[in-house]
Amino acid sequence: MKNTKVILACIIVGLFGILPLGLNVYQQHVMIVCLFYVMMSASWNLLAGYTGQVSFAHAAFAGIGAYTSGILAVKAGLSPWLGIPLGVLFAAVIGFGVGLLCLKMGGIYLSLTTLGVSEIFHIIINNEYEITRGTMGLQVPGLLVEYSKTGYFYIMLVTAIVSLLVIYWMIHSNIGLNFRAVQNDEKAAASLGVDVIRIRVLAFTVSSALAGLAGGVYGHYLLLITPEIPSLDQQFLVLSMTIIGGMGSFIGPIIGAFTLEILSEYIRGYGEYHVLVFGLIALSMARFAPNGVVGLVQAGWAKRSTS
Amino acid sequence: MLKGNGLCKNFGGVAALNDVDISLEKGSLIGLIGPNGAGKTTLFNAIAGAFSLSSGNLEFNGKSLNGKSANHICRLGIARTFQVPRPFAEMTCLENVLVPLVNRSRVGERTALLQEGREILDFVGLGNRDDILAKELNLVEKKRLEMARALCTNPQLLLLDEVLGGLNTQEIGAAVDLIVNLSEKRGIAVLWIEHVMGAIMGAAERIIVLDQGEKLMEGTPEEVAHDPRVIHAYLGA
Ligand SMILES: Nc1ncnc2c1ncn2[C@@H]1O[C@H](COP(=O)(O)OP(=O)(O)O)[C@@H](O)[C@H]1O
Ligand SMILES: [Mg+2]
Repeated sequence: MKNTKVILACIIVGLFGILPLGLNVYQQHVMIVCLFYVMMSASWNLLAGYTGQVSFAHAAFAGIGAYTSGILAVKAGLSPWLGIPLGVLFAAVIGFGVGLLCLKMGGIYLSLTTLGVSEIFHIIINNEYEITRGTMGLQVPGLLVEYSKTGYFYIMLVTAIVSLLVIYWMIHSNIGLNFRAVQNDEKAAASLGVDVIRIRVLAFTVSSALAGLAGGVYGHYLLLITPEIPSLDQQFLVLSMTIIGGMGSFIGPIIGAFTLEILSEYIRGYGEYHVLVFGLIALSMARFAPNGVVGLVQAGWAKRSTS
Repeated sequence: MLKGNGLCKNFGGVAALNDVDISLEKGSLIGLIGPNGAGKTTLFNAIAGAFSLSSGNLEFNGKSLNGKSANHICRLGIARTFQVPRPFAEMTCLENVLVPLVNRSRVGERTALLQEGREILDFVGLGNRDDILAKELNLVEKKRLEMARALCTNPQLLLLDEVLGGLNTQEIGAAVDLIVNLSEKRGIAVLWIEHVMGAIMGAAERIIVLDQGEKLMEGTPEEVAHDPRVIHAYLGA
């Protein structure tokens, strides 16, 4: 079973490795965006799906990663190859702080507080025009000397694989077990020796760092960092991808990210309603199929094997 | 090993615990009884660090428990079950017991822990339920899972909160044997809240009686059963 999984993963990664050969420039762009959302959804899932802390500041952390690196590049001439790790670090530190801030909260209170954090971040970007260029966006240098879609595809692919490996390792280790224990019942977990404070803050820190990484790489691919990256639209898109794909499973957010991003490319022609549509689908999924597409497929399989 | 002096806990105006003293020896089996709302569960919560005391001192093996978090107290060797079971509902029984196993101070290989987890599930009578989600269990099974998880912390002191509720006569017998076995064979001290009088009176060495937050008396089951104050507290005026 374990071997089949490893082989399957290798085949998929291998296919992705040769994918750019068969795609035109536009399709390559879509794949890069897909990989960005894979990172965003998978890291949000680590926090929301595994510890039950439904944060609305995840897109803001992508913004922290992107703006940190972008501003360092523009103002100090720092290479994005150094700026992005610093952005990740900064996102981790702020994530740690927000995790501490939200320690005594759960459910809707935590969501509203993180929504507030996200708004504060927005206000800062819009008001510090001199530094951030506000809604105009910050023009930043790229990661490659010579611009190449294929090059960026591979950078994004490697980053996404590294992120997914970190997440996979976490959820299958003792840490992941503690994550789920805390999500199921914090008081019971504490009574059984789980350091609830450490676990909750750890989830926030790692999840935020990975969002910062995704945002940083994405920003230096786009060459223009705008408040679009940390926007609420983005946040709800990531949330929809995770819920529709399957919250609390490793593969769910990956499936959700690809499906919704590719779909939204088709819907885009009809105006910018896709986030709304996805939001509504996610809402009804959360109500009627809380384990998402992955849960539906698993249930279908279970039924077939018993009948 | 456990010493509590002048324990007080107020909820708003209600004194749920009022100046309670308690002292437990290693390996002893002590019953804790009293009418509903007497403060028994509150005493457990205070010992286990679920909340802090309004005043008073708690000591375990010479270390102060005051202000310590629940997980810290668990690692010191005190485990508790909840009166209303609190299983990790979306996790399997085996995963439920794995949580305390991986959080013990000395953690071994995952395969060895899984083996130990299966053995403990077997020990409490959940041997064939390893891969069932905890939410699928009935109340009696959930209580067994509470016990299994608590044992997996490797406790020196076990706080049991009404583990017999809902069991039939035969099951009560088996559960009592199991509890007596814990204290006699494994040397685990047990502080045991129970409403099933027959069971606890037969098994406990000593009984502590709480009433309206105060310690009414402490003595052998014999002494307690014949004490007019206890009879009065239970039967009312
Ligand atoms: N978390 C709490 N908040 C407020 N009041 C509480 C709380 N826990 C217990 N109490 C009150 O303290 C008193 C003792 O309750 P408890 O310890 O549960 O009694 P017992 O377990 O002996 O039946 C009751 O009056 C109860 O209402
Ligand atoms: Mg009680």
